[in-house]
Amino acid sequence: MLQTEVALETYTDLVYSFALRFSGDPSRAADITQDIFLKLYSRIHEFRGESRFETWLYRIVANACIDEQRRRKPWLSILDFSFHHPALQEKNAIREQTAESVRKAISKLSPTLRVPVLLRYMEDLSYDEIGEVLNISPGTVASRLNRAHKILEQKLHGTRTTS
Amino acid sequence: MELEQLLKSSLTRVQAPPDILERQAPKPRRYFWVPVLSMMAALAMLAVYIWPSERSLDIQPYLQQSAFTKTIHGESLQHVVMNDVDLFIASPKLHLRGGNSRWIQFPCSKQICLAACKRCTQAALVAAMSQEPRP
Repeated sequence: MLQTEVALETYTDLVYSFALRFSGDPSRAADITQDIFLKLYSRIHEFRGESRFETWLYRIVANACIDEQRRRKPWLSILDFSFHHPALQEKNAIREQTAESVRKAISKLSPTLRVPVLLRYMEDLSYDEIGEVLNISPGTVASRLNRAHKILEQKLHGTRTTS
Repeated sequence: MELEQLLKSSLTRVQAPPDILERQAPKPRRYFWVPVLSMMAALAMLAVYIWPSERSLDIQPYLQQSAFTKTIHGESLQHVVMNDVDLFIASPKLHLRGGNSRWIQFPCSKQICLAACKRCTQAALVAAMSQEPRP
């Protein structure tokens, strides 16, 4: 069991990064990460090696993020943008500002579009792999990414021209 | 800048806080002990409740030989002598104190309380009985 826990903890950065980019808030990301690890510790025996471990892990991570979003009180999202976390600031202010705008735009996507975007552009998964994680066809993945691209294009139009 | 490049450069992986898993809540498997311990406690209580009725079989032969009735503090009380232990059959009005009583069911359907005899009423009863010779 101890070996399993040590092995799982090597995925902490992956899980936390995904949760942070999904939620846009470090404290929420920490909560989601902890929830995910609780699930991993209790459900690790369910992994039978029929798929890649990362695929199984991404599935749990994606579901946990979507569940957290559903459970979350709507009014809390208003507070998210009233605080600015100093840890996210970088030296290059313009680049960080652009990245922040992109992340904010992504955080406003619906969870069904946000998860494929994160799996594609942060985790570098193929359409087939994303489909396997989300249990949807690669065609549906392409469709969702296409819809996400269009929404992001509109929201980031100003950002892209200035950067 | 292309949208895909912009997304990739913005969605970089970050390092998790070093203590993120140390500050996590207790793991749920620890809570499995709660129902187990509750069940064990319930079984222990049940065993304590059942045990005296099993003991009543052991003292039954003595009951017929040495039971007699005494009046103590105005209450009629049956008294059993069994070796060097005095047992008293409680009358309906006898006040038996304490929650640690052990009840033994007799064939006459009366009950005896060992704890009450030993802790609460034995001194008074022995004092009262010492005034009368045993049969």
